[in-house]
Amino acid sequence: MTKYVIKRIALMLPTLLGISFVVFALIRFAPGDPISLSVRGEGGNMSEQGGDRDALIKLRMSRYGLDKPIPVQYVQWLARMAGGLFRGDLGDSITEKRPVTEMIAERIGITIRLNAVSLLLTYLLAIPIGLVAAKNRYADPLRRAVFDTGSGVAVLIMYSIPAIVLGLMLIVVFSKGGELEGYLRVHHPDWLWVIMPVGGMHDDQADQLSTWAYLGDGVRHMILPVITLTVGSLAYMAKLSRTSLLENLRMDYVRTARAKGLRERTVVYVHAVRNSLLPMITVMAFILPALIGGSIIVETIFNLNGMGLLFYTAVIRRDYTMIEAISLIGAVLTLVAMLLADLLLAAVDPRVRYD
Amino acid sequence: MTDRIAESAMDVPSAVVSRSPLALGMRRFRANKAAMASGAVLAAVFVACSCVYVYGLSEGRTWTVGQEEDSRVGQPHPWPPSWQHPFGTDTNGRDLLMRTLQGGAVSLFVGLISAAISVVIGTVYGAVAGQAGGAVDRWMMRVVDTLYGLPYILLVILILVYAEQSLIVLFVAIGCVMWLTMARIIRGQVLRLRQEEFVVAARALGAGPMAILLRHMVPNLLGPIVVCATLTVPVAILQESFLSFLGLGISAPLASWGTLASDGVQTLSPMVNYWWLLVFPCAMLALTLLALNFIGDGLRDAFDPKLISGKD
Repeated sequence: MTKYVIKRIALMLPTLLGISFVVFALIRFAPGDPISLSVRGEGGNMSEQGGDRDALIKLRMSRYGLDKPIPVQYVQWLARMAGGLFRGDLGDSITEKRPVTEMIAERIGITIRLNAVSLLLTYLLAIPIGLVAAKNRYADPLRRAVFDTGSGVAVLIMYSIPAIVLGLMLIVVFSKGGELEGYLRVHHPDWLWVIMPVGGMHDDQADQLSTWAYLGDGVRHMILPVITLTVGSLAYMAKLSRTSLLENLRMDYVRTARAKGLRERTVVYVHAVRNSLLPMITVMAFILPALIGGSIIVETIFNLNGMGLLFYTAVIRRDYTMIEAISLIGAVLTLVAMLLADLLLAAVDPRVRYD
Repeated sequence: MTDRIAESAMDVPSAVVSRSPLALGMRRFRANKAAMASGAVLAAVFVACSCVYVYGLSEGRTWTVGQEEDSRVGQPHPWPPSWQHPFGTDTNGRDLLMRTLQGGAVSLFVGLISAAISVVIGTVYGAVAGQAGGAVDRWMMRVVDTLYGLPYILLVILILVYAEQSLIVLFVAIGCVMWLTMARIIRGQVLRLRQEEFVVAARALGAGPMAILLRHMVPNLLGPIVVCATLTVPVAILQESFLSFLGLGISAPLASWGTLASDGVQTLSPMVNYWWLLVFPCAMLALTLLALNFIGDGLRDAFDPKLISGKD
């Protein structure tokens, strides 16, 4: 077991190397570089003194070693990473001139909070939905239509609504200043609490609130983004949980359990459900990268200052160090999640063993 | 397996007719009402979108409201939905229904082409890895794992900043990151088929690896390929709409559901509420994706061997 873990961790290194190479190659060969883009952005008066501008670009390029051939830059970058990785130093952001790790540390909290809540909700809701659907699969037609077919259609609808559409619709309906707020103000003032704040994690004057009010404010800011982030993965997991439970209910061991005269409830909850949870562990490894991608969507729609938005702006400004750092952190998270999922599976399923 | 034999034996009335797995699957698919209805919806959307698109191209029409109607209504654009303009008009005075259909053609086109690219790459890659086996297979799958480790949306954004925003780059960018799942599925299927008796028999009779792949495996792979391709199209459309929303995908003269939605968002403000600019393109997008997913699920139910034997 220990040997297996060590081997897996050792295998991560070539994978990370490969990822860093792909990202490095892609971004360096892309047109535009951080220096020219930022110098051009620094104002019109520069353009009058064209010679100075070119000199400035050259100077700054050499300061960051960007004037060397790309393979040389890659090797240099790798050497710097190998040294800095253990000190938690991933280089300085080219556009902001601050340590990348510092900037990420400021932003990662929001992304982690969003994803953790979303992941938790996904599992907490998906398993019962799948359970109810699967249990009523062979029930009388009415129950089957309501619980199995009904939830199946609902899940597929949830699966088909793109996150951007859902996010935008939520903003249109529930944001301050929308039609709904105007309607509620006139007709149902006690329902005004459903209007959610949009943008940022807190109100501007939230600092002056009491602790509880501050927490409540934070929660209210997170409701719409979390819904947007969760609906897709929830639908996927609910589908998976239903199929998995149905598959298990058809197994011989379930027939044996029934033949022994166990109560149906024991058969389903103690025997089948526990086994049906196994694939949901494996899937966790694939949900995580999807959530990271999804937080780019949610953070841009709701204007939250998280990692997703940080990455997006870094790409637009060609901030090489930042792009590399975030890609690597995302890749490490994904690989660790895959390893954890495999280990967890081995821990709960005696059939899975790594020797 | 026995079910499949029994089933085909039962509905053979007099003469013995052999049916391919594809034909059997298609018959199971046709029995699925929700999937068939979705097929009809999708076909309608597709036909409407492409007709409007082709007509608009050939006539060079922009669907701008005529001047006489403009002066008759005497109101600045955008207009809310009405009988003349069921989706209303946009800020430039163009009919939003026509714009949405036109944009839909672009979205569907991107989805289909990108999915086709990813299916071709994924199938070839997966089949080669599965058929080669051994060290080649291990290394080829290591590459897939590496790319899996990258959140794919990062990859798309990275590829897109590469070139001028053109449709072809968009196809390739989306197609290039979506083939991974396809490659895994096809490899798994090829590995499974390699153990099957008919493949072993073919090999014993001296058939080469290419002949086995093309003659014996591809017909059995068609089911998974069709299913996976159908489920890839909605994902590709989603990617496109998101990238266009960010301003990285389709650019100005062209429109897609993503750019229409992002245009709709830009008009949002506490003062005015042009909801139709956002709601209709988004609704069309969601409807199309729903239909595609229903069809994909129906196809999977019809073709997945695990589900077939269980009669579910």
